[in-house]
Amino acid sequence: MWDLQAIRRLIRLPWRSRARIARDIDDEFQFHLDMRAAELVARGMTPERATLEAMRRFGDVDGAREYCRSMDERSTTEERRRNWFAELGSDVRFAVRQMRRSPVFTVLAIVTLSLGIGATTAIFSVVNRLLLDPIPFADGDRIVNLNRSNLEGNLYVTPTPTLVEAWRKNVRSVEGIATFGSQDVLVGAGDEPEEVQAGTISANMLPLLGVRPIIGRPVLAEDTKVGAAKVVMLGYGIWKRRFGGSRDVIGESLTISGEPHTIIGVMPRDFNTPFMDGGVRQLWLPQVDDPNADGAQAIAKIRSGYERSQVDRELTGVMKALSAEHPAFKDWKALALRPQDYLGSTTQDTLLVLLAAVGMVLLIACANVANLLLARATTREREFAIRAALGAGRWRVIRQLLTESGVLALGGGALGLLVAYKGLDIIVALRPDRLAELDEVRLSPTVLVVSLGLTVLTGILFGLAPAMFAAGRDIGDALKNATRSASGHVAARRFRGALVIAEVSLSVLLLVGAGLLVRTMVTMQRAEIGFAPAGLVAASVRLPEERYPKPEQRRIVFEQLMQRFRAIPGLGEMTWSMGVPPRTGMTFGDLQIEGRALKESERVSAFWSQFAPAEYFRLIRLPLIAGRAFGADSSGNEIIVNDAFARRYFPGASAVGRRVRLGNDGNWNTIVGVVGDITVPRTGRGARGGRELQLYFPFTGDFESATLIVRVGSGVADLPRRLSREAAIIDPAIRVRDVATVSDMLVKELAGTRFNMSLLVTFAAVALVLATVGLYGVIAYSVSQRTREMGIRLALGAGRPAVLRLVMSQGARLTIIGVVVGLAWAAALTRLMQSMLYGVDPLDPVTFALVGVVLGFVAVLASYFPARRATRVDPVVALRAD
Amino acid sequence: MARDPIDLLHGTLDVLVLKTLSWGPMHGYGISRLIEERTRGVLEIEDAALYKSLHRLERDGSIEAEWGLSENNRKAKYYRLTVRGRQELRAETNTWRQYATAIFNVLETA
Repeated sequence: MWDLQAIRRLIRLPWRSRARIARDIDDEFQFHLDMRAAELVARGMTPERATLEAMRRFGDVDGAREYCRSMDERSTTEERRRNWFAELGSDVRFAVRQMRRSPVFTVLAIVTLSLGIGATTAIFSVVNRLLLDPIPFADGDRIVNLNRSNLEGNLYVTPTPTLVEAWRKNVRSVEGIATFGSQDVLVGAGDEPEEVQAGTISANMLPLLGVRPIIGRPVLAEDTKVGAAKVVMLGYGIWKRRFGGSRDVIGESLTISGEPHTIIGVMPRDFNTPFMDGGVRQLWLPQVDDPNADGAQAIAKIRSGYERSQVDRELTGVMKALSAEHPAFKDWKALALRPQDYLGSTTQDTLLVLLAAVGMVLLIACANVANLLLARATTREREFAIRAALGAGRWRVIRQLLTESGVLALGGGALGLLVAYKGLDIIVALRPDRLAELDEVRLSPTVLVVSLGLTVLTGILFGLAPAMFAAGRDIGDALKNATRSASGHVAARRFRGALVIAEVSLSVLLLVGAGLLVRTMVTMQRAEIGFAPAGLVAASVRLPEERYPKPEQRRIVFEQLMQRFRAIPGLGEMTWSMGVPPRTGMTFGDLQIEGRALKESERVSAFWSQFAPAEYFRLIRLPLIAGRAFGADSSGNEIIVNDAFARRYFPGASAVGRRVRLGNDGNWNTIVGVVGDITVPRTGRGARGGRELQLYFPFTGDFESATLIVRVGSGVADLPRRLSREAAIIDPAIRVRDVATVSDMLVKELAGTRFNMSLLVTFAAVALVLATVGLYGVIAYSVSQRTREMGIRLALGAGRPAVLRLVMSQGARLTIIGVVVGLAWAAALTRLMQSMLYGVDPLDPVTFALVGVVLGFVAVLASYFPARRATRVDPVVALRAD
Repeated sequence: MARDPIDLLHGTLDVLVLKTLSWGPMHGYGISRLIEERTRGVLEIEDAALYKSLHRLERDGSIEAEWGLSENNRKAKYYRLTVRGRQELRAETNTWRQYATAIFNVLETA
């Protein structure tokens, strides 16, 4: 039955237009009225009266006409839609049948597309998380971080509680100001408490972000009062891990840093406050509302309709008004910053370069599939011709082919999501430390929508050209099939050649980019860093704050610790310090030099600094250039500066013996020595030029934590446990952690570059493989189409080498054009990645030359195999073919 | 005509049209004539309502239309019952039969 209706549908004339529907109804009614009138006349009425009577009997003509017209129009639309879906359905079924008939092609196409779509989706997720939608909360684009900044603008400091209070009272352009902080805490009691990072939040944080706890209640204002009952909110992770996700945790007690806290709520999964460094927190404590506390980070939501510059002005104004009581606020300005402002231009450049790179991979994938489709379309010419002969219009054939590419694209998109999902895992595993927020990257709805759009777009992109070519073929020609190398193919062949050239050139571009990053990585690894990390191990040692409140006590504990550590067999020299270079501290304060006024351009207020005893310099082999190291009894007013500092402020003179101080009210420090510069290679705009100013202060041991640096001979197994054991003898609450070789720590410094390099190298490799497949496909196809020609050539006495040369020169031509175009693009574009490079020029001739050679080699391979097949053509068989 | 024609109950017209078309394809005027004849003039159908019914049924897929030539060689729109229309007619006939029986059962009870 269905078939009959389908046939009827096919035979039916094209859809009726609105005008046609109206005319049909008029005709129908008129026929009725005429017939009725004729009937009445036959019964003896006059024609005039009969016409009137017919009208009367008909009733409301206009109403009926309106009704019928709306019915007909609706049924036409519905049928048209039904028909469209029926055709789509049969197109899809046909496409799937076609795909099943050539599984190799299908798998190749789908895998190719999935690589392109998947990689693009993954990178887009990252860009979306970091650049486009960095605060994944309601109105996230209006949330800003409030900071004070010195006038140079190179230093951001969190506001004091007094300042936040003043802002809350007086700043109209923001809806609310919430504060947050971070602290390391010990969870649980007993021997093995777990050390976790906790966040602290003010009571208005969650309402400001529009977040509710998944169970329990949020932090309330009374929880933040000084001396309030201790409460804690659990992060989702620790709730699942430690409490098995039980809903009964509310009201239970949890020991945090030795004190019982009542659990009041659980945060949603992956919850983190915006601008929190170092990733998701496990616990959330109330931010104690104490005006004397250290500053906390502040975030605000800009009232809608206000600009960020207005907020800046208002914040600064309020701060200046306070400067009567707080002179420190006078020379500062206030800034409302977005997450993007913290990323720095280097990271932004990197993300955009990666996105562009992955987009190129997708384009290559599209070009490749288009190529495959074109090749197939020519072999399916008879099929299209028959369809056309049976009355399928040009548009109908295009639609059929577009459906086929659409089905392929959807397959590629589906598999691509899997690729993206796995790819994100890899990206997160590779991510540098400072991009901790990437841990929360998900395939968000935005990303999925973009990915779907991408899929549809690729389907059209790679499907349209083959479809147009197929539909454009002359029916007669195709049916006769005597025109294998005739004119109709020339356009398609040129187009395929152009596609391959495009693929090759894009691969060249990506390879050059990847090559530059590899060179950057190598240069960075080989760079002179100024000290010798080999054989050194570092460990961070932390005293339980509350047990050693006085500096004196701490100094004694550090001395005792050192004695115990020295007793561990197999350990060489060791020293205390604060951090491992280049990750040491920063010291702030306006530099002043005794007996000399600094010019405006010489003023500096932030320094890389290290606290170090005498043996530190010897241990890390940092050369002493002038003067001496600290003595064992060095007091707080001795200082050592680095070479860069000495050269900048005492050019041509000795720095030793001069006195400097930071800020107006500090003590004068005498420079006792000058040491070499520590220069850890870093990428980024302008990073190469400036050598950092480095200051060394005597290690006095009155900190809660310090870094142990020790030279380790071979065969000291289990160092972390041995250090912990020795420390525990003095006090079990002392924590020894982050035990690692200094070399490994330095390797981490290259994480960002390694991340960029890995991704770009992967993309370039995928691009190269795809381009090779594309080139191979074109050559192989053209050989198969020219079998007869090859046969004739061989029959007429052309040697096999000549045929080989003929085929390979075709591949060579495409490759050479592609390489030249690609290198030209690279020359124009690589400067965009300048900030990702170190010690290598964007136009590095070695990289450019190498890429050219690699592609040449690959091209030779790709065309050699098809060419060899051409030489093996049997002239007899070839001439007899069809 | 001794009495005014009975007003058609809502939905009755559709089933009458379907029944009429079950004898063969027919144009609107013919259907109207046939119904009048069969009901011996008791039911006089307003033509406007008839055409509304025809187009409604066509949209529902119970009948379909085609232009053809009438007895007097004029272009006329012929309607024909579809498979679906035939099923519809059967169902409606049953409903009517039950309805009528029920009414009679009440009316004929002394």
